Order: sequence, then structure tokens, then C-alpha cells
Amino acid sequence: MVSRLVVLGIVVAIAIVSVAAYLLVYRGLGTHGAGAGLINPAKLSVTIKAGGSTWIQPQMEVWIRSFSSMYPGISITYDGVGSGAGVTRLLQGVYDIGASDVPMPTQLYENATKIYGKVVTIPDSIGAVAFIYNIPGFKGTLNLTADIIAGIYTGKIQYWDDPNITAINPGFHFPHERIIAVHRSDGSGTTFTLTLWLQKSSEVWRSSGVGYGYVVNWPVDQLGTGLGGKGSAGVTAYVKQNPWSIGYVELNYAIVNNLSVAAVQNPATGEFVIPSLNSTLNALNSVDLSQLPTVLDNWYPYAGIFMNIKAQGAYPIVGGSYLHAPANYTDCNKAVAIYLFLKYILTQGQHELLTGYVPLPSAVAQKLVNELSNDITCNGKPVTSLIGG
Amino acid sequence: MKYGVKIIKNRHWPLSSLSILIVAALVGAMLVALIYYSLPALMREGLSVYTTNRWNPNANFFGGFAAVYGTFIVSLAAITIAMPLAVGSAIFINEFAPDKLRGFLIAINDVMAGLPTVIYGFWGLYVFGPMLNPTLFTWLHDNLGFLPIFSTKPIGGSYLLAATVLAIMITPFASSLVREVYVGVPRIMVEGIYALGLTKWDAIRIKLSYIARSLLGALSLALGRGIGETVAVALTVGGALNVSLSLLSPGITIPSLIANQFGSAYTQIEQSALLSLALLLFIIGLTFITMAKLVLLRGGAR
Amino acid sequence: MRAREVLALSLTLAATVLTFAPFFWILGTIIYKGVSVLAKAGLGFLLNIPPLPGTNDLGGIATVLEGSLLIVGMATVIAAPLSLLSAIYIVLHEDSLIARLGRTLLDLMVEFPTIVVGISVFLIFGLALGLGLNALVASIALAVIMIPYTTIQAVEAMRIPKSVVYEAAAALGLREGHIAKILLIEGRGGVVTGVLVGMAKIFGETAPLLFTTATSFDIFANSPLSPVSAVPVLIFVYAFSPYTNWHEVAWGASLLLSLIVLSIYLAARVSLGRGGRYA
Repeated sequence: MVSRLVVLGIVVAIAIVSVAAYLLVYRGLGTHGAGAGLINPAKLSVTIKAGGSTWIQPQMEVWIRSFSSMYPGISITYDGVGSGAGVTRLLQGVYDIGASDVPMPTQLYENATKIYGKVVTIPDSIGAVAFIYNIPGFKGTLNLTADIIAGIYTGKIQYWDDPNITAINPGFHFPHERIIAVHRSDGSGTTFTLTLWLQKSSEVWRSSGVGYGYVVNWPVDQLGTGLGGKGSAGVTAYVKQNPWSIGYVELNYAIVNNLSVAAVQNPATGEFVIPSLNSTLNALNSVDLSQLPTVLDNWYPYAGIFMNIKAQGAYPIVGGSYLHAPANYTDCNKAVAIYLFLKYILTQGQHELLTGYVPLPSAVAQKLVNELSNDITCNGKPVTSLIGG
Repeated sequence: MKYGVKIIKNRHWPLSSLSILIVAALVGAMLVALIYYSLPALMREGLSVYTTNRWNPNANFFGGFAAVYGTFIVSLAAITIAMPLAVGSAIFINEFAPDKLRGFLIAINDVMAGLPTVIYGFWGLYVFGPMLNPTLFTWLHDNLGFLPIFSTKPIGGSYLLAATVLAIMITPFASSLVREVYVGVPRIMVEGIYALGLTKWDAIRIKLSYIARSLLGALSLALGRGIGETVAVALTVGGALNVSLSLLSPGITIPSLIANQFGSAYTQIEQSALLSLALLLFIIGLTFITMAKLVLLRGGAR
Repeated sequence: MRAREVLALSLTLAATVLTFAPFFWILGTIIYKGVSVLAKAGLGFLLNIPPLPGTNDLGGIATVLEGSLLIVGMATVIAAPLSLLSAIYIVLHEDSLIARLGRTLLDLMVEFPTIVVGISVFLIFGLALGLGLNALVASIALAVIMIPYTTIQAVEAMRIPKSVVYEAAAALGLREGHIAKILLIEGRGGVVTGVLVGMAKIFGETAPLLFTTATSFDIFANSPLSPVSAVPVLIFVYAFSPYTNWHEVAWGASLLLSLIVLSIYLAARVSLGRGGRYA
């Protein structure tokens, strides 16, 4: 007599296989191209997988919910796994849209074009890097320059009463206290934006060889006065706990939590500017449109286009967050869904931003939408020609 | 009885041996994946991935010595704190606690071990750290700062803070290991001790020396557990790529480094370097297990 | 002599207090911060989806709760049979090479950093086998973490009835299936404990999920192949966000998670009987 356990095992195995087969087929059915007929967005049933940047995640939740109420059949998931993983997984085909706080590096862009042919890149929102500090007894706003920040994080400026600092902050008697420099422990687009800006703006930074990236080797760590906090929350916690410390956070984080921020000198104008929605907009609105790349281009060389803008009241450390997706599709339902989502983000989505997330100038957004409508294609045809019904 | 054993061994055991094979295959597959993905970094940099203290994505060079060093320091410090507490509480529970209290403590013991680590991490960062730093840690630096291990000023995250939180997490496990071995001291011996008119204090001392070797084994096991802890340590160790003799200095451990940076690693080399550090952890864990097994086997327990 | 005993008592008492006080401190903190959140949100905390950031809404954690239950359930379905069958083999062949190697393997698995488990499972099942990122892959990662705990506990539980089985097998000429059934039934207290302890452990795991699950908290997972998220991941993400209402949700979720884990342990303790020990 065959053991009852074995029979049970076989039954369970058959059950599992049938369920799996059903699901795979069911999922597969939903994603096949519509063929020659026009696609009615209201009747679309597609799943889009997106992921990457943690900075854009709260905003993504808002966008996804709003978009889903417009198109209930399009289901979008977003994983805040990190900008690097977002792009890597886009290349691995795990995500349909990869989000990163800096455009994907040129090497990866070239890999992406090898895999997908063409890739579209758009900025989805703009942010800025703000400095917070904990100086007992200090009132008012701390002034900083790129060289001072570079000096602090490379360990060349170690004490608060350093002449570089006191020169531009008269009116406060700084004691001879060690500066505790707080940075990010996790890989972060904020770090990338800051270090890229320092590379552009400070000879001290350039000659230190630290460079720029999601993660850098902070020389101040080796001195024992550097700390890495997890997320802007971690950085803020360390700054709050330590008198005589300084750290950097995302602008939206500083605004929502009412943190006192430092004024940073814009190298292009010499002005000391306090980071805020307005000062970031001042920078954005003065960007030369003709300098912008198209959606099909490699945006990495343009990562710093929003920085050091020569305009009144323009904050210098400004960077965007970006979305990448393949440009050409064979699955027209997916192509339409992705186009609609990106278009929504560039248009209506820019009016549904959380506090501290800065909108794109409308001229820029419009230019990008126009390009997307031609450059996202399915089976050779621009996706807009497929929408109807 | 021996006859029965022989019969069972001669039967076929398809399902259960298949199970063990599947589990072994899973572990094997994981090991193979780790080795495969570690190769690019190892081939490019050799062992300097582990021995050099220079983690510089910009220069595409990944020397993770700071993380290796930090892993050892935090784990060793944690076990140094945990072991006396584990032994002490095990003795208390077995020798002094009234029955009801014993049952209660044993129950709590196991629950503590199961509390999600993310909660330990937050508590450590937002509550425990801010309490310890200005008090105990500052005292250590001010009064014992001539010792290299307390020579830096506490600034928030540190090896010691992470080690303390880790100790809190592994003490329950270590305590239950010690308890089990302690209870295993033969009754004949215990009765003999009291028959000779010795006191409780003497009894405890004798029992401890009897199980000393097993304590070492328990120590290895608890240490191995501590090495792999990720979230709680990542939030309290300070996140600085630094190597310091001072326990009060911020640092980094291998699991923390991986958790922090794997999501932003977009070059193959960077991911590979992180995974090769993970491979090292695997090997260290294996070493500790083997050592613990050898020691425990000789001690006669388990 | 009296003094020495008092000394022993006070030292060990101090050690005990230091060992257990942090638990009450942490529990106290969670209860203090979480109770007000749960009170404000009410039953909706279990039924609603998480709130939009920066609002005054508390919403609920229904989506991640469902996700957690799904992946813990699936992980148990995968891990329990493997654990129990492996435990049976190890118990009955205790001195054989395979059993000893198996035992070492289990101890090794317990020591894996959970984040490495998550990454390796993603690499093997998500990428190499092309399954992608979904509940199934997350469950496999959790199952790998669960297996050693459940197996070791089950081995301890079945050791005791083992001698009975040997006699019975010799006398009756039983087959594998019957012997397994007897062991499981006789050791059922410890076996159930093992499964419960394993489940409690993986319920609270964060690190392996960071790279295998979604962090979209609005959707309900509706199949083993759909993206999923879990309660510990929500806590992790929300607590580090800038938004106060998200912080509150994180505290409420922490309290809820702790309560769930504690109840599973309570059930496991009951199953094990008085004075028993977890392996």
C-alpha cells in the first residue's frame, strides 16, 4: 500500500503547480499587446513595477494614489530600495521604471541602451541640500561657503573658531571646540548632490581627491569626529544630540521639521542664500532651457545643471530626482500606461507636491511631455497615436 | 534495542532524507551565489578587500577593513558584556529564584530574544543612546580616558553603544544556553557537595568549574549570533568608515555596511565587494560553529 | 559563609536585573508611544491603508499586515515540512554522519546575517531563476531563516519519544510514514512550539525583506506572485521619514507587531508545557 504521505505529497504538488500555472497564465494574459486596435486608457489593466530613490518615495505614494484614482486598472508599485538598486534593477528587467536621485551614470546609460535600445529620462521633482547645525548660544543664521564645508568634511577645518568661519560670521564668539561632522551612513542621492556640488565649487574639495558619489570616503571619519546617520532622520538625531555638530539633510526634511538651516554662498553671485522653496525656485526659473538635454539623451553630464545658477536669491546646492524607463515597447498596454504615468507626473503631478518637493518649471515640464509623446513608442509607433477609444 | 536500531537504519527514508538534502541544497546554493558574486572583487583586489582600510567608490577601490575590524570589536565587546550577565542570571534563576519567579523569568527570557530587531535599533538610537552618552560614556572618557579603549569623546554612535544594544539582544539566548548546561551538572555531584557540608557559594563555584568548557562553547554560539545582527547595530554604531582603538568612537560593521550601501551600489565591483564581505561573515560564522562544536563535544554537553 | 551567600545572591540578582530591565524599558517605551496612536486610530488601524505623508491622518496598516501574514504563512508552508522531516531524520539517525552534518548545517544557518539571506535569495530566485520580486521570493528568504529554529526545536521535542519508537519499530516492522507520524504526535508539544517560535522570529524580521519586498504600502498582495510588503519594513521606512503622522503609524505598528510576536510566544510556551526550554 502506497504510503498516505506520498499520496498527500503528490496532491499538494499538483495543487501548487496548477495554481502557479493559473497565475502565470492569468498574469501573462493581462500584458499582451492590444494589437491594431486603439487603447482606451480607462479600460487598461496593467501592472507597473517601479523602484529606486528613497527621497522620492513619499511623493511617489501621493502620485501613485492620485494616478490610480484616475486609472484604476493601472496598478503601480514602488520600492524605495535605493537609487543604485533602482537603476540596476531597471537594467535587470525587474523594474519598469527606475528612480534615482542622480541620472544614471554614463556607463550604466550605455549598458541600458545596449539592452533596451533607447531609454527615456525625466526629472520628476527638484530638491536641495540644506545644512543644519547645533551651536550652543548661537542665534541667527550660520553662513557657509563651499570651501568651508569642504574643509570641515575633509578635516582641514577642525575647530569652530577657525578664521575662515569667524570671518563670515562676525557677531558670535566661537569657542575653540572640535567640529563634529555628520554625514550619511547609507548611500544617498543627497550625498551625491552635495559632493558633486563641492567638486564643482571648491578647490579644497577637488584637491582632496574625495570626489563625488552616493557614498564617499569622508576623510573626517578617520579623525574620529565624523558620524554617519541613517537617512536625514539619523543625521538630524545625531546633530540634535551633539553640541558643536553640523550635518546635511534634504530641504524638504528641514522644512517639515522646522530645522534651522545655514545660508550657503552661491559661487556664481557671491550671495549667501538661505535654502527654501523660493530660493530653489529662483534657481530653477533661471535655468537656460536650451541647455537641457532631451528625454532620450544621457542626463548624467547634466547632473549639476541646477547648481550655482547666476540669479538673484538662487540657492546653489540644487539637484533633481530622475525617472528612467525604456523608450521602445512591444507590449503596447504597458507603453501607454508608462507614458500616461510619466505625463501625469510632469503635468498634474507637479501641482500635487508635498511640502519641500520643488516643482519643475512648467516650460521644462512641457518640453519633456512633448518629447515623451513622440519618443515612447510601441512597435515603432509613437504611443500617443495608439490612445483612443 | 540494538536490533530495532538496525532495522530502522536499513529502511529507506526517502522523504526525510530528501528534506535534509533540500535544506543543504538551499544553503549550498546561497554559498555558491555568494562566491560567484564575490569573485569580481576578489579577483581584482585580492585579499585587500578585507585588509585595506580604504572604501572609496569614487576611485573604484573597496577595502573593507574598517567593517571587518568593527564587526570583531562590536561582537567581542558585546560578548564581554553579555557573558557575565548571562552566567549571573542563569545562576540566579537556577539557584535562588523562587519557583514562580523562575517560570516568569524563563518565559520573559525567550520573548526578549524574539522582539523584532528594528525595535531594538530605534530604541538604541533615540532613547538608550541619548541616555548613555552624556552619562556613563562621558564618565568613562573623563575618568578612564587614559586607556586607549576610552580615549575618544562619545559623540552619538559608537562601537560601545552598538555592543551594549547587541549584548541586550544576545544575553537572553546566552543565558538559556548557560542554564541548560548548568542544570546538566550530575545530581550525584550536587548531592555530594551538600553532603560534604559545603555552602551554596561553594556549590556554585564547583558547578561553574565543571561546566566551564561548555560555557566556552555557549560563548562561541552567542558570539556567532551577534556577528550577524544587522539593523540594531547599523542604527547605533555611528556609520563612520573608521578604525579606532577607542570603543567610544563611531565605526562600522559588515552587516551594517551591506545594509547601508547595497541599495546604492550600482557598479558590479561595489556590489561584489559588499558580497565578498558577506562571504567573509559566512566563513567566520562557520569557524565559530566548528570551534563551538569541538569544545562542547569535549565538554560532554548537548 | 553567610556573607558569601549574600554576595552570590546580590551579584547574580544584579546580573538578572541588568538582563531583564531593558526588556521592560523597551516594552514600556513602545506601549507608551504606541497606545495613544492605537487609541486615536481605533479599529481602523487594522482595516485602513496607510495615510498620505504629512497629513493628520493615521490610516491603518491593513496592507502590510496582510502582507506579513501572507509571507509568514507561505514561509511556514515551505519551512514546516522541510523542518519536521529533517528533524525526524536527525532524531532517528542521531549518530550517523548525515545527521551530524545536518545538525552543524542548522547551527550554521542560525548564524547567517539575515540581510545576506535576503540578498542571496534575491540573487538566486529573483534574478537567476527569474522569479522577480514578489511574495514568493520573500517567503523563501523567510523560510530559510525559519528552518533552523523549527528544526532544532522539533529535534529536541522528538528525542524523548524516540526510544519508544525504536522498540515499536523493531516489534512491528513499521515504515517511514508511520514512524514519522508517531514521533510527531508524541512530540507534538515541542513540534508545535518549534513552528510557532519560527513564525514569531520571522514575523519581526526586517533585513531580509529590505531587498526582496516592495515598499509600496498601498496595495494588497493578492497572489503569491504579486509584490508584497510587511509590517517591519513599514516601521523602518516610516520611522525615518520626515512626517509626524508616519512616525505615529510606525509606533502604533511597533506596538501591534510586538503584541503579535508576544502572543505567538505565549502560545508556544503553552504548547511546550511548564518548565520546558526552547532549543
